[in-house]
Amino acid sequence: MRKTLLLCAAVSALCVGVVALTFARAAVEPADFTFVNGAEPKTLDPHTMTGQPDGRIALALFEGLTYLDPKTLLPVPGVAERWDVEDDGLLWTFHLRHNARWSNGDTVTAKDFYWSWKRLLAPETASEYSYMLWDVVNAEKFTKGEVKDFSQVGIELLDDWTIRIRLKAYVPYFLDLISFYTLCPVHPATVGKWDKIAPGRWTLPGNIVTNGPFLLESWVVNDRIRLRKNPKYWDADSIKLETIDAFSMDDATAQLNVYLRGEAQWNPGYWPASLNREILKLPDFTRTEAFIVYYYRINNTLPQFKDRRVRQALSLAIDRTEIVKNVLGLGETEAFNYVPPGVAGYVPPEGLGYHPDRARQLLAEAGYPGGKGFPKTNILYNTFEVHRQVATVVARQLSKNLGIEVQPFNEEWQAYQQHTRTLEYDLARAGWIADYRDPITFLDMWITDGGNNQTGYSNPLYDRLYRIAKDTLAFVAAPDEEIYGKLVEGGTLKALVEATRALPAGSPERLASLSKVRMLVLKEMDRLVSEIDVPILPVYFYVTKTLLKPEIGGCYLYLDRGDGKKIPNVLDMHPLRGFFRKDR
Amino acid sequence: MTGPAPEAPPDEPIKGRSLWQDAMRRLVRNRAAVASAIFLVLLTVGCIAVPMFIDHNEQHTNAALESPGWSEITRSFHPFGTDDLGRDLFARCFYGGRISLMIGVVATFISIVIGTIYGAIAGYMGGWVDNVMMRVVDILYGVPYMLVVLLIMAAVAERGIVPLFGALALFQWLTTARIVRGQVLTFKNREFVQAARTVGASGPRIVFRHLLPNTMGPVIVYSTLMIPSIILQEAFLSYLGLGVQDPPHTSWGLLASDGTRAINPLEMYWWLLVFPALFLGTTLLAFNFLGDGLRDAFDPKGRRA
Amino acid sequence: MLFFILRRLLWVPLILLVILGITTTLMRSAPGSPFAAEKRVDPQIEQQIAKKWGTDKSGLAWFGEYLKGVVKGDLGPSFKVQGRTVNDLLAAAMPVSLTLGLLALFLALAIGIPAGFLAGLRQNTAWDYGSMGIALIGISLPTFVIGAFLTVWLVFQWDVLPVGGWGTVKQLIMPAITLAAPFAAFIARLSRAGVLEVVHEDYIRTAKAKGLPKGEIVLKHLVRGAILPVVSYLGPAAAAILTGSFVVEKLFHIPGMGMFFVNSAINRDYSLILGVVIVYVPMLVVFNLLVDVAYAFLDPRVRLGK
Repeated sequence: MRKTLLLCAAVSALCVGVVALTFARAAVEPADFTFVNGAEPKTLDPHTMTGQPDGRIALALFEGLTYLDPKTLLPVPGVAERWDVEDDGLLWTFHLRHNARWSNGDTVTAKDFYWSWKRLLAPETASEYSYMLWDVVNAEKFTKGEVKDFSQVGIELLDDWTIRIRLKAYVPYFLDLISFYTLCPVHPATVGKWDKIAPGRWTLPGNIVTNGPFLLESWVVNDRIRLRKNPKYWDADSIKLETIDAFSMDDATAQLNVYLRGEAQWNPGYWPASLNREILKLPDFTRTEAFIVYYYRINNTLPQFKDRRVRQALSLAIDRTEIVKNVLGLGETEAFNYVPPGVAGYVPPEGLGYHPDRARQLLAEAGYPGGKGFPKTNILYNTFEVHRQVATVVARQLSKNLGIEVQPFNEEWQAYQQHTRTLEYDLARAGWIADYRDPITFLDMWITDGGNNQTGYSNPLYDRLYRIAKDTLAFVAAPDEEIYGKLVEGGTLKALVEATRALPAGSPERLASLSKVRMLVLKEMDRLVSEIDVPILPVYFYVTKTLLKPEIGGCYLYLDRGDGKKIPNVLDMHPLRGFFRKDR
Repeated sequence: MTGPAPEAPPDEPIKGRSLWQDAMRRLVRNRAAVASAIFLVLLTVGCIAVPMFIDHNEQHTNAALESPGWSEITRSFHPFGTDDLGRDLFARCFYGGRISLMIGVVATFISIVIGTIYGAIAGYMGGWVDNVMMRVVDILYGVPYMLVVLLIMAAVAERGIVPLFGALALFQWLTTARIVRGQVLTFKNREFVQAARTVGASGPRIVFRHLLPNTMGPVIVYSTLMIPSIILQEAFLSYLGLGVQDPPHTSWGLLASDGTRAINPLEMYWWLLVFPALFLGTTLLAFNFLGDGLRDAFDPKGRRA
Repeated sequence: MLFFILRRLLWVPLILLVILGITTTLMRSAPGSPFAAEKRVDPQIEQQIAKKWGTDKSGLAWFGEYLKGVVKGDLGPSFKVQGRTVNDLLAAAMPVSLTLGLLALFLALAIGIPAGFLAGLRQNTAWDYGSMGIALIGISLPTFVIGAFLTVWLVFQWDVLPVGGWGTVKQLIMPAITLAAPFAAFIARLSRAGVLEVVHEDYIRTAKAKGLPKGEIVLKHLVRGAILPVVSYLGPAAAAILTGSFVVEKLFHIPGMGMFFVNSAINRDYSLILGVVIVYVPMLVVFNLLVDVAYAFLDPRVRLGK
């Protein structure tokens, strides 16, 4: 008896003791600004990260040669003070500022960039985003081990403050790439010291050395990352917040609730989709178009999908308006083509539209009148609320409109990944987020055997157009006449090419005209994907959505590029360096 | 992992009326258990019948998330409201019940069969066979059960109801095996078994004809309590997104876990959580009452109480 | 006694090895890889990633390497939280889960046992039905539903508690209650059954017949006998409750171990899965052992080591 009581007392004492001990140490005061950062970052190493939550933190911790101004998202001088462009945009020389410092006091030099980019491209780093630098001469070959000697890569160290880059072809968005987190420098000595022990070890608080506007103060897995203003940052005066907390959480309800309860002041779109129409009514909700497309892959290798008329029929039978209006309801738009709107100069093709009668007719022509004899079709999707909703609705629309049997089919993320890669699906949900503001980031997927193709689609004409888009200059110099006859707008293209050839080399008019040629080629690619061959079914274009408390500033959904027009922030990038509190 | 020594068995074989008649008589006197049994029967009938008349998958996306009552858009009455795709929650609750009950009953049945056979063999053979078999059970008890179920559900290519049965039953038979073994051990040396052996009955015959029927009481009690626990585990799997395929199927766990998303200070779509939770809760409650009633009925000490 | 305990503890490495083997096999046969991403990377880079993290080896070779590390106390790197070792992750998460778990366990016992006793001693009264009704609701609803209802009442309606997070005592209350609820309910039912069983035992009747005062009877004999079923339940329950609950941690945004149980399996974070197993299994064995030892003290009929 006494023993039992003693045991009880001991257990309770232990409880109270542990609780008291834990909280005596753990209590943290709230940060100046707290936001919901989504899933736990995989890593804080800018060279190996890929996720949006990781990227938000990386751009606060590190700074590249240039960075994107939060207000305009235009590249502005970062570690580089200025740069020169020569040779029709192929040769870039960056001059570094002398007052940029690492958080341990070391000076940021061109050597650090040289070392960092070599590390980024080195095969053993296994960087998933190393392709961001593949426009540089021999960079891709170096990553793939075909070139062993880094001095053959088009990156040249002129002195401690100057670095020069030679590109394979003109890249209109090169400075956007330079500003991307993947091209940020890392501190060579720190990385070298810790990487020997374990990959990524150097990014832990206490080990990490950074050069950006914020320092990594603490990082508790599945809880939060705390950032603190970096007093050694060369432009520290422009940083308004002293501390920032980034919550790592992945439960949609919890993500919304911490915002609504005021425990976080910014929620960049993490909430249950079923609450969209309530959130729409909140005064602190804002949205803009996003450069993201939601689509279904068709397994082009299956016999029933080999006929393009069947694929067209599927696309024609989806009522996208019902999906964006009734299911999503946040202002998403129907995707009848593949590249989202929002690129200056890009006019998308019209697409097929919603015509169930035409769809049935095409299906009948392909040998399945009234859907008879058509194999049972599954729509594969990974576990996520919106995917389930859309797949369920699309399955019903296809079944009803075509008379075929279609079922949604759910798999968890890993199995879904594997099965789309090995083409073990009929239709599979997919989405694509732009890396940069150019249609090519979408369209390069559908080239024959492209890594992200995963549909089995292959059309030599498409591959040819892709090569033209990648090096338009070469095409204009020596156009291939027979291609015009194969394109819907071949005549227009021919006229544009002729006009470009007539302009003097290196003149701004010629560059502008080149860009027009390129955009038209991209449009023809988009047309093949969404109207003619239809290897995929575009469904809708996303919106960028945000809940932001009124006392917080610096999160720009519309960008002011100085010409009076506000353009939407389609890349959904909101650098943390721009945030401030209006009430302090 | 030795538990308490098996209790002395009831002295029923000697009595005039059988253990079963006795137990049933006592069960009928327990009002809560009887009410539960009636409720479960009615519910089962409802879960079979209702989805035959109302389509639980019919979507009206323009009538999504309507509160319980008459809908002008679908021109029909939704007693439990509609879900995020405008599907009738009333039909979905009953259809979900079909799946949940089926999973509970079938997975329980599988694990009872496996557990009974395993336990009977271990108990009857005794010696080193028993020792090895029970060590295996001990080891399996140490397996973080949900982790393995998760991995299995992730590993199977086609996630359907059948793998779910298997995964859920996989570790449930352990306790049954222990119970049956304990029972068999105590009966093995009783007069009626020895008598059978003298007459020359074969091993399997002794096990199946003489030993197993005597172990059924505790097993039935245990299985009545296992059904609700399996339904709960299915709910947990659904919460992780590893439950049944929805659509075409759904289950109470899945409906309830979808319902938890509606919990927020903005606008409470309370019906999405309350009705599935009500179905789940009352059913599990009923199984527990019934299980308690059965235990009291089969428990000889209850007679003295 | 000592021999019994030692023998049981000697079993741990063997059990662990078997379970780790089963887990590795299952994990390896599941589709996907810890490095799968929406954007597909170049196959050559994919190979490099596998090489960098050692997952290019065959299952057996990998397991061998892993075990070598384990013997040295190194549970390997996590693939999904890069830069951290499994040791780091567990060291950070275990105190959180232990704190929450101990509190929940304490709550479960503090509520469950008195409720069960009350119900058992006043069998078939309103007390009995009331407390058992509540207990049954506790076991009849999934944790995520209980958590959701608590959030509605305590956070949104009464506005007394924060919605989640970790660091203050206030943030601890709701998760502890949610975590404790099913255990409290189970304990209440078990202790009621225990009381009922003991009430009719001969020694209690004898005590009553001797005319001992009622309070003393209850304390002296009843508690000891009736607590037995609870004690045997406490072994597995404590192991489960102290290693964290996925649902509670997810709902209330708590950086504990429960998240690892599920996320490591879903993410195919091989070493983290095994790390979780390595913590859980010995814990289970030890708690069961403690239960058996406690049994020997509480129940004079049970002797250890046969």
